[in-house]
Amino acid sequence: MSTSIQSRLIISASFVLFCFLGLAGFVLDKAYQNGAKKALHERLQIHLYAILAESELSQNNQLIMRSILSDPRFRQLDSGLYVYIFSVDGKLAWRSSSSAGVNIKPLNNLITGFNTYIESKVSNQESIALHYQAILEGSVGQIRTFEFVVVESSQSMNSQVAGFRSVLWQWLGGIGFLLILTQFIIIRKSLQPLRLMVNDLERIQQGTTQQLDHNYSDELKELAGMLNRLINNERTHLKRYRDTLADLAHSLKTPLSVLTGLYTAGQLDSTDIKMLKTQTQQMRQLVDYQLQKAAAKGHQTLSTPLLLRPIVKQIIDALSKVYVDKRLNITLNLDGGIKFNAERGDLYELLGNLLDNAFKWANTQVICSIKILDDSGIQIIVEDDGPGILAEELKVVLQRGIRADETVNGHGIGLAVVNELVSLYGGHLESVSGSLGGQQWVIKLPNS
Amino acid sequence: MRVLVVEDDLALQSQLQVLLEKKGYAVDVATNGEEAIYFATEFPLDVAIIDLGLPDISGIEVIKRLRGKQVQCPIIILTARSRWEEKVEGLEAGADDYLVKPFHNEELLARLNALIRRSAGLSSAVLVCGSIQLDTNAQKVVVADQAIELTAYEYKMLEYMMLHSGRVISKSEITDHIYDQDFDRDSNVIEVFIGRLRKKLDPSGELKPIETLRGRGYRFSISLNS
Repeated sequence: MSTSIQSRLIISASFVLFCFLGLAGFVLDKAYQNGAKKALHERLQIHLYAILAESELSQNNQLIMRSILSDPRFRQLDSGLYVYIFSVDGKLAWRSSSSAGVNIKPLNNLITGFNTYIESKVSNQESIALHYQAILEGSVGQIRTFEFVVVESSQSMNSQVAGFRSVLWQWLGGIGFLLILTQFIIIRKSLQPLRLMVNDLERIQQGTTQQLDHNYSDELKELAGMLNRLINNERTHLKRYRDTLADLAHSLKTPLSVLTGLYTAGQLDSTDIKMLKTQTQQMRQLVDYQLQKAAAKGHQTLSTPLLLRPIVKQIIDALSKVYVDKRLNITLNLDGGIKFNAERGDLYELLGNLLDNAFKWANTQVICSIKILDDSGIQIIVEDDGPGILAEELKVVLQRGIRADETVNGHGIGLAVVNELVSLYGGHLESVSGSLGGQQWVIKLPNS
Repeated sequence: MRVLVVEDDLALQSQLQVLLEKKGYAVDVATNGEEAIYFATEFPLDVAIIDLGLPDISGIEVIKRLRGKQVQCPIIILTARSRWEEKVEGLEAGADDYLVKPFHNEELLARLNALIRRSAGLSSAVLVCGSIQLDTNAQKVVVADQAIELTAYEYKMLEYMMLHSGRVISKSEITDHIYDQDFDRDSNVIEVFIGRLRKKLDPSGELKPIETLRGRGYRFSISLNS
């Protein structure tokens, strides 16, 4: 079967059309044929009545015709219209002069008063014969039974039917052709938006355009929107991978040069070892940061939204285990039904790093609140009662990827990863002074 | 303290073994999950370090099976991937802490100390029994404000006894927790160490921190201030 939608539609529609027209033709033809045959039967019956009216018994009990039969074909040789009258013993009692040289046999087992039609070849012509048994009464009360047979050639009826059939199929063929042509045009017209979209995608692939920007039909608008988001996502990812690799290569150069310097100097004293340690730690953090950044996926265009509570609960349980010594008081304000459309791993990274930071620095309390925003998105607030982050440290903490040569004690790469993820999701991250007096992060993430 | 290191990378495994032995741990090593389960169920461990990426059974599965077999010692997981989803999965399976590779030796030692302390119900790194103070991070012992010098084995034995003060500890229990598998259990080395510890901790014979319970073992009689 062809994989083209257009061919499939045309083939199926044509198949249905051919079946319908074929069936209609067959039924019409059959109906016309039956009508013609019925008309011939009626004609034979009329002839029979005329013959019966003219037939009578003579005094010597012989069948005679009162007058000449009105239809001239009864007197014309080989006219195709014949009459035979047989006595019950099968002997021919009378025949029309048209039947000279044309013989037929009586049926003999007829019931009086009933018509019997027989189709057969008479004198090499397709004919229909009406056999009828009647009792004639003579003038002196004598009675005698006869079999009347009226035969008429069906040749003219057959040619009439053939003529009708030919006209019928010509018309049906013509109508069928017109309908298929119309369907072909309608299907081509209906599939035009899809072809337009394919052409646009080809243009995007060739780089001549950036988006599916035509005004597509209503059914395709949503698909076009999803494809546009998918394309943008892929483009952003590609850019991020390239940037990440470039950042990694560039930012590792500094610590590597320091290390090279140490090795070439030969002897390592305690200061060198300390520096070696710092530089390797920096390199480790850089690799971690860039890898996490590269792994972040962003809004998932074709995925279903995830329930947030089970994920946050899991992270809090895990962290409570790690920081069990601190005996922290944890409050979670999160409605069980809140969902967000994001990649699962990204949510773990974002919430894991935020909460880990809060658990690490909190003295006694951590509060995590997540709610749905009216303008379609979610707000995440994580706060602790620890020392907080100084305003001047904040930029460095959040931009670890850029300011790779600086470190802030105790703040790892977690918050920089959070910042990176928030911007990937088109969200907003803010550090505000919270009610607990420590660090409070407010994150707003829009829906995709 | 007896520690099990489960790591399939032989270089890292041997580096960890050397480091931990230097710090006074009795170290068992396993290179795969099956070996790890065998060691953890056959020997009394104080702590286990389990790498998540093992060749046969995953580290998470090993932890689940150990917890299923009622092995209650603290477990710290090592992971090369620093994804939160994996950390949470490990902690949910029964681990108590995690460490992302590459890590600093000091960090690992600090985490191990914290886990051992936590499993003994203590929150401070310094164990205090009357006038005897043992700093588990610095591995230093002070008696009545006087620092005293102990050998690695003496230190290990004192730390174990202080963590389990007030309880009768048999000779074989001490051997299990401070020596590795091939120690000659018939030797009198434990008695010798106990004798030396008594002299160093209590030269005047007034404190009497370690009691001998004939036929049963020893007891650190000064209770721990938690």
